[in-house]
Amino acid sequence: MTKHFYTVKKLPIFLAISAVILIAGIVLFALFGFNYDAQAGKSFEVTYDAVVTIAGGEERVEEICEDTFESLGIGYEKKSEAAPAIDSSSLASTGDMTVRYLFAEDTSADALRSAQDAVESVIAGEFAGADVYIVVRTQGAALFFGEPAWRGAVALAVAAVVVLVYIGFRFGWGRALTGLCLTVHDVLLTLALLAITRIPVAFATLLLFAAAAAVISLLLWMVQCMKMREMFKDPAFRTMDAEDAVNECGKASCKAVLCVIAALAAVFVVVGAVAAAGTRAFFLPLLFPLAVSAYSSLVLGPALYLPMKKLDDRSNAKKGRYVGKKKAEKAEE
Amino acid sequence: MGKVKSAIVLTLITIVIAVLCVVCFVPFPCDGNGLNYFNSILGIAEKDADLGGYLIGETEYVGGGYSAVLYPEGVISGRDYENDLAAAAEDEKEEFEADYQAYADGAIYLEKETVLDGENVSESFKEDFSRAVSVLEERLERLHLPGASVRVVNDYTVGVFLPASYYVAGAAFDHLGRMGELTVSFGSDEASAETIIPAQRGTEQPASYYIKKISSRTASGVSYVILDMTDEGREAIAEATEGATSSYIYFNIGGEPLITLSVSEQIDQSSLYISGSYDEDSSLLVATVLDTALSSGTEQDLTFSVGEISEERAGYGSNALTMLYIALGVLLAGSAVFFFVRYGRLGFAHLYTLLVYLIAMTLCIWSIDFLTLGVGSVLAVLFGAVALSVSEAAAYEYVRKEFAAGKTMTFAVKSGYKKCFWHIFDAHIVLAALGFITYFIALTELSVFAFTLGIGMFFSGLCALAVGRFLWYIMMPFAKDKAKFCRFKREEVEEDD
Repeated sequence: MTKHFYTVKKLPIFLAISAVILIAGIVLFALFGFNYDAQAGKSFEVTYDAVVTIAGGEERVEEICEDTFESLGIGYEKKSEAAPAIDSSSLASTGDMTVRYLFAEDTSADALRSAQDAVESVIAGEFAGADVYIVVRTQGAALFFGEPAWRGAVALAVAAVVVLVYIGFRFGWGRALTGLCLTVHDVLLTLALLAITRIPVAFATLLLFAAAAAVISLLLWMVQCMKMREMFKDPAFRTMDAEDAVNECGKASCKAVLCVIAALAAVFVVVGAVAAAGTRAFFLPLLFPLAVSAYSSLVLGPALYLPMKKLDDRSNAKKGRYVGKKKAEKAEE
Repeated sequence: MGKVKSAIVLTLITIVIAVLCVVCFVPFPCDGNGLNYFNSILGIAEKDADLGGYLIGETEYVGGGYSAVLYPEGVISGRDYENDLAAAAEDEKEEFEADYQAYADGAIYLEKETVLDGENVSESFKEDFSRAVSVLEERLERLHLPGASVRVVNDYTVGVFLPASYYVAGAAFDHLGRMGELTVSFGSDEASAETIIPAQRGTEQPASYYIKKISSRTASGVSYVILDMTDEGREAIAEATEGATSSYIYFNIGGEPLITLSVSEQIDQSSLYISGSYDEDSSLLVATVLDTALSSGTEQDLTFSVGEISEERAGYGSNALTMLYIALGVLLAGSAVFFFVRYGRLGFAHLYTLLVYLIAMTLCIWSIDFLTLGVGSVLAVLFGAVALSVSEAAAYEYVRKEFAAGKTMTFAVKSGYKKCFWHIFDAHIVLAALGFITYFIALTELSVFAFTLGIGMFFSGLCALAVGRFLWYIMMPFAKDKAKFCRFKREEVEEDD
């Protein structure tokens, strides 16, 4: 007897794997939330006159700041490039430039005060009559906007349901229902993995990860559905029981699904490898939704579809649907 | 199609694609002295707050945003304190110093009379500040700006960030900080105008008793701020403007007018549509500020004044965009190499198709107002490109099978595309629908991603099913050996002895 990979018996194992990750994610989310990159901390801002007193000395000002931080043993988390200060009404440049360093919240206030004094004195020594203003601000985390979050979740849910209605008409309701389960599973599992791995994410990118998970999940399940539809048309499949049919189809569609996964993985890896740090932090974690969708379309999906196919076959048998004389003869052969 | 016709069409297509590629992707200096530059469409396309960079010649920065510190009444910046102190007369300096107390190592100064209760910040100020921050947060949330943020800085000031793509950022910093009760006054000038809402008739009703809600709308290129009045509000305005010839109605927040409406005849309407010089963004801004003041404004609200404003460079750094372009170039080259290796000169058809797709997407991102170039839109474009490449590869594989089975190349192409048409159509329609439906409900970055995904899938499907096939059709006549052109082989049939 051939051992099948996709069996109803294995379904609880596959679901258990997902459940463990999901529960771990929920627990970590409840305890710590996502690792939001909320840009909270102490901001060391240097505003200087870049037109007259420190004209052409922008790089030197930054060098002085960074050398001072190094000598005091304090390291900044993020540096915002020097940008012009602007007039509030016209948004025209005032001639001043501001360079900003963001330090961790626990950075010593005394150390920052020392840095402020040191930078001021060095700049005053190097640039005669330099017009410099240094301020250290304690900035809180960006406040959370709730509306984009719930509207985003509703949008993805509505869109997924609508497109799965289309899939229902085109590929059958069993496959549509499986697709819906997989999409929800993939989105939740992606968010769980982000909570578990503590990868820093901005709020907006979190929504994008969820959307990417839905897109990849649907795309891969569509590939499976197409292959199933194509293969199940074959009269030889009509005589097979659901388990045989799904396993045969799973073997045949594996290559196509892997090709799509490989193409997407290549894209995320190349963009992640070549791009700058900020964009890398967005594109490389996209491998999470890809891995989750790969797991669900190659492993979980067909196993989940199996009971539905059995029900479908049973219902078709009950109805005693007329399949046509020629098809029936072919199937008998 | 004959060889000559194919050559002409292919040459024309090549020229058009080459010109569009240059226009869309290649910036260059126009003269020898480096004063004039041609900026590509991709270069001038709107960037979001995280991706941005200088246009060629460093003439202008595209992307990033503006940040401002807003100071509530009774709080001033350390720099203002120093400047004011220096500017004060010698005999007033001591008094000025006595009026303020340094806070947060002198980053801000608190006015003792307004803010402090003894040595500490008064509880009432803390409550007022907290309420004002909530209103500010609500206003910013209702503007639905991708990348916008608000945060408390130094406990008693607020930092607001607005993306550069928001053209009314300057006005927004000022308007967002306006707190207080909404009042409507009428008169021939601001100083002598009398308050008509809330009516000065001994009633204690707030402005919301007279005005139901304030919203904005844009139709046929004209933007309006719309005030929906209750019967009492309509009556109050009609009564005040009766017989008016050249007067004004002032819509004030905290006593300061936000809208000044000239009146030349009686106004007796249940909805007031105010246009003037508004565009979609500014009308939404004004309507949002007025509506929040209508629903939650009180006389005790703390008003914010705008302090330091500075431009912010893109969050991911100025080189992020360049590196992203390089990564996209590598992917384009990789895709082309794969197709050339697997399908021979048919790779040209794929390369042309992919370029058509990228040009179409660039033009869309540039021309559609609410689309900006950010990681979300780049991701959507990449999804489209992957869908296009996979679809083309699938179509080629179907044709390969048909050809291998013994059909002529023309019939193999026809039959292959026919067999995979619904596969490609279904995949694209599902993802396009997912994008467009999400766009209609979602906000900010997700809506940008979703819409870009929708149009990306549309163009990807169109390119895979129509453009790619057409290019194959016009490239084929040049090949002496059509099978070799595509690296297709016939199935070997064992001959009977």
